[in-house]
Parts: sequence; structure tokens; C-alpha cells
Amino acid sequence: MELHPFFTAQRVLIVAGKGGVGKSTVAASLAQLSARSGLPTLLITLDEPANGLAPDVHLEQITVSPGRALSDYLATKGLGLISRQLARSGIMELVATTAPGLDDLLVLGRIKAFENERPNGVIIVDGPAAGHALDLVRAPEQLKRAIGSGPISQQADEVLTMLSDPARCKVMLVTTAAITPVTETCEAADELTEKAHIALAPIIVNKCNPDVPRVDDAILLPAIREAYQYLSLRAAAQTEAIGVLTDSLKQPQLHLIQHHSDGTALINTIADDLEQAIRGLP
Amino acid sequence: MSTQPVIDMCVSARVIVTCGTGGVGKTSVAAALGFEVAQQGKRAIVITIDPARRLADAIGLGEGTGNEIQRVPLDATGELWVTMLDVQETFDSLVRDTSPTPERAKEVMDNSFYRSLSRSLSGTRDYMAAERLYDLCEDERFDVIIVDTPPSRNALDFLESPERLARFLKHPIVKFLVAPSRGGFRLVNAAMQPVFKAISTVVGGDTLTGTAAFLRAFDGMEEEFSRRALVVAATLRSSASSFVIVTAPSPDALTEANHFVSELSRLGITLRLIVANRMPPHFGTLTATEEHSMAQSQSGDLARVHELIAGLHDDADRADSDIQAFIQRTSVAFPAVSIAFATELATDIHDMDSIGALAQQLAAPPSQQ
Repeated sequence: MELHPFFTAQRVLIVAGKGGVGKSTVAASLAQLSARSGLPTLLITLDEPANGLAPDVHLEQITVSPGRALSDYLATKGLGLISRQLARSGIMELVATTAPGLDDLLVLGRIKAFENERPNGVIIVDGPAAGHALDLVRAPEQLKRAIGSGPISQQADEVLTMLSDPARCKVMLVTTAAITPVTETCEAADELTEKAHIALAPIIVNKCNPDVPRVDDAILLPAIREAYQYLSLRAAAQTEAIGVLTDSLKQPQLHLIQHHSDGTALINTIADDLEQAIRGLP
Repeated sequence: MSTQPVIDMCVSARVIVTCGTGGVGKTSVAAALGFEVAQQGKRAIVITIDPARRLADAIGLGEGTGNEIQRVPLDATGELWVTMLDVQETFDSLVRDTSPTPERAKEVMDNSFYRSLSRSLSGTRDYMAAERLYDLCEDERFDVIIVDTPPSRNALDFLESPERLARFLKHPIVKFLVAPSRGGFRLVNAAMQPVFKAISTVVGGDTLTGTAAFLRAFDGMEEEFSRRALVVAATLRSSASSFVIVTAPSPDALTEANHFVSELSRLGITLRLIVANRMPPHFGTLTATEEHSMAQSQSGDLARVHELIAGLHDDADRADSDIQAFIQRTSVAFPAVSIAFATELATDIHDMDSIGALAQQLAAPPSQQ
């Protein structure tokens, strides 16, 4: 598959995965690659800006902070003064507690606003870690149940329309090739598609170990037989985990090899690997 | 420094808190420490706050067990128990315990705000973790309580959550909402009016009324809440508690480990142990002569195998130096910190035998690790 159809298959791509799988690096590399291919690209991170992005005329990044989403929202509704009063009196927290998921909804609302502003752009969201991704995308529905009407309810409707439209939004799950993260990824995939009605993009299998050729133990010098057995066992465990993933989820997989660099070098290397893997897709 | 830091900790601590980012094997280490406590003849309980069922997976427990306490069958003189944190269940039993009458408890639990409060994950989960720890500390069935914090940057928030809740409940506007109703909010004073209007605009008037009703029903119960919270906070800051950072030798895991080191410093808590988990193993190497003769006569596959094995050596060396650098930095803030190492296994930890093997590695004297 060419890069452009891959990146424009949806307007918003939410990258999600549990801690330690390299989710943020993958999100940054995807944005870097998309921009490198000439598509105007926006990388949205939550809480903290991405590190190590190389400058590119087509690449912008912005940080949306869930903690500030409510005051930002009030400001856009012409309630900036009230918002400052709430913040000063310390009851912003009360308001957020009163309607759990409000922060999440408002974050999604910001993402939707960026999507409206950029009809021809690619938006990559470095989503929240672990199980929180599901809370994020389920927030609009839950809030709608709690709050019958008003601006928030309307916002929830608009966000739900975006989330459930596969041409506008997909979730890209990132995992590593071990059985525990793969199991959790399969569970997350089920919940995202069945409970939140969100379409899935191809699955990223990150930090793969290289394939190990089969050789007869006997031709190896004794000193390195143990190392070879370790390599073989590790490769077998990886094959088994990928097998479970293939059996459970029909989405295509993009396999990325483990690297030891970090920062800009790592993002660029993974962008290269991603390009190769995407071109290998049918 | 002690020659058996992990065993010393397992027999002397009342509470052990493990923290670390995802993917470093934190839950397995928590279970392994519990295993070691049981080997030492004491009774351990491991509580995982992580909503994912990873501890359950690792030790072969089924799903959906909530707050239920389960014993892990072990061949040991002590005992190993495990449990998870069910936020709703913990909150309900806390309300029942602190409510002056059963009717009041029911009133609180039927309130729509209460139900959404206990479903929302953020602050409530942290607070309930502290509450559950209070319960377990009071429970005479256990000698050592091991708390496996969630794999997030904010894992230590639960240490401060009791104070946050107490502050919240004392807030003037909360006090105002709790005050006896005089015809709803119509008599809200002029200064409060725009604030209430703003809240109503955002979340709807019904929600606010529900919140006020909850806070009124809850009135008086917060004192017992606060008392328990302070007991937990004091225990965690006392010498009875030991904090453990679990890390792996990858750049992102070490960045997060550094973050936990500064969080602990900020909270005034002493770090007792670093667990350097998932260390790539060291294997035997070829002599220079062997290597030379191999290079002469290698088919493609064999050459590749040698290349991969050379890669393993590089991984192990790099991991050693990255971890040593982390330990040195950490020793500046915590000079008395101990270190335990465990090697990465070729396969995932998936049963009690592999937990036991991990415990054995952690408990081995430093010279043998």
C-alpha cells in the first residue's frame, strides 16, 4: 500500500497501547512519516509535548491538556471570566467530579475541532496509556446518560458521530510480541469495536526480535549453545504471541523491529521501518 | 550494606509499595516479593490497583473476583494471598462503615452523583486504594501488605489523595452545598450566583442538585474518612513501609524510574530498593581463536546466528552500564538504597513457578546476581 492512502484512510488516528510498548514513539514516527510523504500532519499529544520530532514544514504538534480542557471550553463559550473564578475558587475539580468523563469529552471535542479546521490534513493522536483509552472514547456516551441536554450533551453527540465514522476516526493499537500484552490488546480491540463502536486501523507489533535461523546445536561451539537456545526460545515465544494476535484479530499487522537508539534517531528509524511495513501491506 | 536486602525487607516491612512504569514486570515483582515473604514463614497479601488483571494472569486466578481475597497454594511455611481493588465495592463498604444509620448509607448509595463518583476512575480510585490499604493494615491475618501501584506516571497520587479529598470536603462551596436546603438554590447569595450558573450551564442543573443531595447525605461522614486517611498517610511515611522502584534497562523505563525517584524525594519518602528487572542475560563467549576459525568457515545461517549472539552480548553490556548509571544517580538522593537484579526470561512470566524463580533471583545475595 502507498503511504497516502494509508494515512488518509481516516482523518483522525488515535494511537493507543499499554505502558512499555512504545506507543508515544510510534505515534511520533507515524506523524513524522506522514509529514515526510508531503501530507499536512498534526500530532496531538495529551499532557506533554512529544520529544525528538525532526522539523518538517508539513508537521505541526500541539498538546491538549485534560486538566485545562474545561477552562478552555468555558473560554470558547464566552465564559472565560466564570472559568477564571472557578479556577481561583478551586472548584473546577468539583465540576469535573460532578460529571466524570467531562475532561475526556472535552479533549475529544478539541480533537474534533482540529479535524473540522483541517479537512485535508492527517491528525495523529498520541492517546492515553493502557485502559484509559477505552475510558476516553466511552466518555461521550456515559456523559450523555448522566446529562440529558445542554451544550455538553450536544458536544457528546458530535464527538460520537466522529468516533463511530471509520472514514473520520480509527484507533491504532500498539502491542509488543509477548503473550501478556497481546492478550490485553485483543481484549482492548473487542471493547473498542463492540462497546465504543470504533473502527481499528492495522495493529502495530513493536519491539520485535529478529528471526533466528534454525541450525543444528551440534555445529555450534559449546560456549555459545546456551545463547543460541535462549534466542530460539525467545523467537518461539514471539511466534506464539503473534499467532494468538493473528487468530484473534482480523486487522493487518505492521511488525517493527526492536532498536536501541532513542530521541530523534529512534523516531526516524521507526518511521523508515513503518514506511517499509506499510508498503508491504496489500 | 546488607548481604540479603530483599529478605531483610520481606521480614521487616509492614507495607511494601512497588512502583514503576508499564512493561517492566512490576506486578510479577510484587507477586515474587509476596512469594518470598511466604518462604520466610510470614503471611503476605499482594493487592494490585491496576485495573488490568495482570497479577491474576500471572498467578492463574480467574477474572471478576473484585475485592475478594484469595490464597495462592504454595509449598511454604508462610502464606501468600492476593486481591484486587474494586473501587465501587470499597466505596460502598466505606459508606456502610462510616454512616450513622443504615438509612443514611442507603441514601448515599442511591444518589446518582455517588454512583458516577465511584465509577469515575481518576481521584476516586486513588482514594479507595488508600482506604483499602487502611483495611488491610487493620487485618490481623496478614503480616506484610504489598501494594502494586498502577503502571502510570501518577501512581503515587494515591499517597496524597486522602489530603486532597479532605481539602475538597472543607471547601466553602462544598460547605455551602451541604448547608440545609432553603428552597433549593434560589437563596444562593449574590456572590455565588454566577458560579452556580456556570456549573449548571456546563453539567446541567439536575446534576448539581444531585451533587448537593449527595454532599448533604454525606455530611458528618467525612470526619471518619479523614481520620482513616491520616492513619494510612502516617503508615506510608513511617519506617514500617518500604518503597521499591521496579525498572528495566530500556531508555523509556529508566526515564520513568527517574521520575519516580524525584516523586519520592518530593514526598519525603525513602526509597529502599531498586529492582533491575528484565536484565538481558550474559552468556559464554568464544575465544579469539575460536572466533577467527568460525569466521573462516560459515554458511549464511550460521553467520547470522553468530551475529545475533554478538547482539545479545551487546544488549547485556549496554543494559549493565545503563542500569549502573541509574543506580549512581539514584544513590545521590537515597544513599542507603539496595539493588536486586533479575534476568529477562525467554518467555513471559505466566505461572507461579516462574514467579518463584523470579523470587529466588531477587533474594539471592548481590554477589550471585
